[in-house]
Amino acid sequence: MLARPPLSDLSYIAARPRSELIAALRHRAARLDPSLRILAQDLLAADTTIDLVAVDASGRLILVMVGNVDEDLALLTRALAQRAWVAPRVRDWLQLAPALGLRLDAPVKLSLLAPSFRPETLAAAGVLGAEVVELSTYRWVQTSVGVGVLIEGLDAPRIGRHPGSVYPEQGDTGPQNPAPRVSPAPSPILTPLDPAEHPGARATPPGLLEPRRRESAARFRTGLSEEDLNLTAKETREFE
Amino acid sequence: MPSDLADVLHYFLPEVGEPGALDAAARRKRSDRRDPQEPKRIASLPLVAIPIGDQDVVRAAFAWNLAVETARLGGRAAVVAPASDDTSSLWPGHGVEPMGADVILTPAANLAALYRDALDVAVDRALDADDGGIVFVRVPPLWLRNPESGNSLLRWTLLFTSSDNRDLLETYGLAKLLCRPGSRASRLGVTIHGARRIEEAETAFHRLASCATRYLGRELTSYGLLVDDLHVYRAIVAQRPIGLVNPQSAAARSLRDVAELVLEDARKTAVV
Repeated sequence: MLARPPLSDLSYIAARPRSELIAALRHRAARLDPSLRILAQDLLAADTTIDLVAVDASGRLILVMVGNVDEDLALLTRALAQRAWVAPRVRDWLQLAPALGLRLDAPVKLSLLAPSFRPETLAAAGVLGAEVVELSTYRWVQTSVGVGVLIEGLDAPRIGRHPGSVYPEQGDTGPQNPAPRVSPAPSPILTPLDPAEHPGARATPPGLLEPRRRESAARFRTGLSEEDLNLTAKETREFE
Repeated sequence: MPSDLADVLHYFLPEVGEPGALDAAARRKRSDRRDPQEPKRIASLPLVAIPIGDQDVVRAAFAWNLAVETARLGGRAAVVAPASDDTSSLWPGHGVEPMGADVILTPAANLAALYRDALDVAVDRALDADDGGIVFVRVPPLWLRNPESGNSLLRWTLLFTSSDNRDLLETYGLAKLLCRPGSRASRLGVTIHGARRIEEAETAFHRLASCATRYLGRELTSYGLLVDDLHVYRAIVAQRPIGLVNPQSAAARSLRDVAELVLEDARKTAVV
């Protein structure tokens, strides 16, 4: 997806077609968590489609849904409806495709992505809990090597506790709002940024291109990690 | 003792006569390896440790069903597992003890305590185990990170794996963990599940065995393969033994064969 270009060459760009975003998510999911398997795309569920259906290493079903700007609250509502539709059907899916390795006792999890999340969405997600829903923001970026999607998972403490949005609304500079992880705080509306008018947009904090790796990415079905098993690169390659 | 899958491929052939029965050649082969002497009274049933994650319903079902099949073959069998609220869904409900194969939950919080409790069960069940038996012990994989105190429990371990690369890597990693310096692991058994073709299962086992030999200097023992089909998952959901729900299915027959292999080795291993 994205190599590691010089940070000074990065700038935000307008959103690309949704199909490109979904393709980027599939690619990114495989890189972040090799044990995550994408089972379906655009699955017709409760009245609308689920963007991606995946299963993690422990056999838990994950529904990935993407929202556009200002759709975060509706996205959460729609996702909960989809989750309610899917949950009683997992048993049937397991009958139809036992090789999927789905766990019947694991609650279906939601993974939602949007350019930003407003405070009430964060609060609602906080009430549901991390076991039910995880939130991530996405931004299209331009670098010297090409265009890509920057995805950042929201830490659990930021969901439901802080009243501020991850990206403060224009004019909102209250002290209770946490500083965004990306500096300076971009407008939630993605537009090409003119460096002359937005020089700050090129100043990016370290680690921007390395999204936070979820701890579960390297864990096996048993809960042990590759580190626990002390696997060498050579041993790992034997099973690729 | 089976050392590769060639010993168990027969069950994919059409069966003639009693369902689940081995063909004559395979039976002779097995009987030739039996100890010709009459078995002495055993003091303790062998323990077979099976690493099973807290939410791994499928492997837990395999372990329980192996215990049931062992009992159907005439051996005494039980499953011992640490009790935990998080793992209550792994096992059938209280009172479900087909063929006398029950699940015993212990308050053990580490390998040493689990070993002591499992040994108690093994000694108790040996009293009337005229035809041998096995105590399968569910080991929380996270406890394997510090195995020193419960090494004796891990002398004989059975690992279930599919032919999926990630599963194979994990299984190899478990074998490596079990073979660390100071380990008492003397027998590492592997059963392949979910294979769609014999060749797939063969390849999977040989990949594992090859790596274990080259990197760990250890030999793996094949305990056959389990055929996953719809009956397996229906039985899991219904919490009923596969061999009783649908004994004619390929899944039940393969389970029986694996149980026979394990029981055969158990009879040679029992403490007298």
